[in-house]
Amino acid sequence: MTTEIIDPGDSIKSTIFYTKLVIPLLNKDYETASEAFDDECEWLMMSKMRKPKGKKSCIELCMQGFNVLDKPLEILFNTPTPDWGVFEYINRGVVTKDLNVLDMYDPDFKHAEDLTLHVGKEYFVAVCFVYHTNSLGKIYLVHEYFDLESLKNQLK
Amino acid sequence: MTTEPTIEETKTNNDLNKAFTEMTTETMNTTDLIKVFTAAFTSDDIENWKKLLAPHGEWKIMATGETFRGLDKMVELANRSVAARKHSGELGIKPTNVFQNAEGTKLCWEYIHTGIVTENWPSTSSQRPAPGTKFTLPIMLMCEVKDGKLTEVREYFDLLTLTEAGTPHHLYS
Repeated sequence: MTTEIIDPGDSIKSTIFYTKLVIPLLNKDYETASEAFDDECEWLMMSKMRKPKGKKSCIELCMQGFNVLDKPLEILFNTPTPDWGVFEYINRGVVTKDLNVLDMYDPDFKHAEDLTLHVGKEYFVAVCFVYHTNSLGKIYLVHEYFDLESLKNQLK
Repeated sequence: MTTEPTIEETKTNNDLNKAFTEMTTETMNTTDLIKVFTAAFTSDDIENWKKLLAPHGEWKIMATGETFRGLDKMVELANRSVAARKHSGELGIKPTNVFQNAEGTKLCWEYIHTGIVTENWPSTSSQRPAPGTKFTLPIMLMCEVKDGKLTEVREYFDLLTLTEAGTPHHLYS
């Protein structure tokens, strides 16, 4: 993944969520990425209602998730406003021998014994983040939506 | 919908019809659209809900990859969805985060849907939750708005929350 230069006039990409969080994460610049969060940021994963709270927990979650991306994000829509926004993308990838993609989405997933059956399979999942920013431009609330059921079906 | 409306529901529907008629004499702004949408959507009022959809609009269920294009198909989706579950007591559709952008062209409508699965769950689902299963499902609707109508809606939720309600998620177990 390489650094992307954002045109400030590009309303699709020039947003807090994309420029201050996603791009640094893709570049594995976690220090910069963590600055996108408010200290008390809450990240609610709708699938299991897990709720990491605090800058440290949020950035750890992001590191886990964005580490498995091996292709550029396929952005569907990016809706920024001064105090909230929605970022929607398709995550496409290929299952590797450790199936770590599933752990990323849900640590409770139980893997098949013969993991080689699934290595090389392509998968995709639509992801949607709804986020809120405070007056300092920091993200203080994220709601993350994705569908584990369709992912599971792709890997049967 | 298979049950007769209560007096209270009839009164609500009449109020909604009146509000809708008043608002549609001119193109509805997005703030009014939200009010009418919320009233219709939370009361399974498909007749008024469909008036808020652009005739050539589309509703995408991101979880399944299904796209319902055009009014008839979107109404078909609504009827299917309403038949698949029932509400009673405190169960129902409860909006949690509703926002629009300054231009009124984007609307974010997040809600928690609680209900009980019925026998009419769509047969196309790869896994069908057992009838009688109570579910709690967070859902996000990302809506595109033009001329007071919804032109595109992308709906996000996790089907696994329904098919394995209340249990940890396991693959291949």
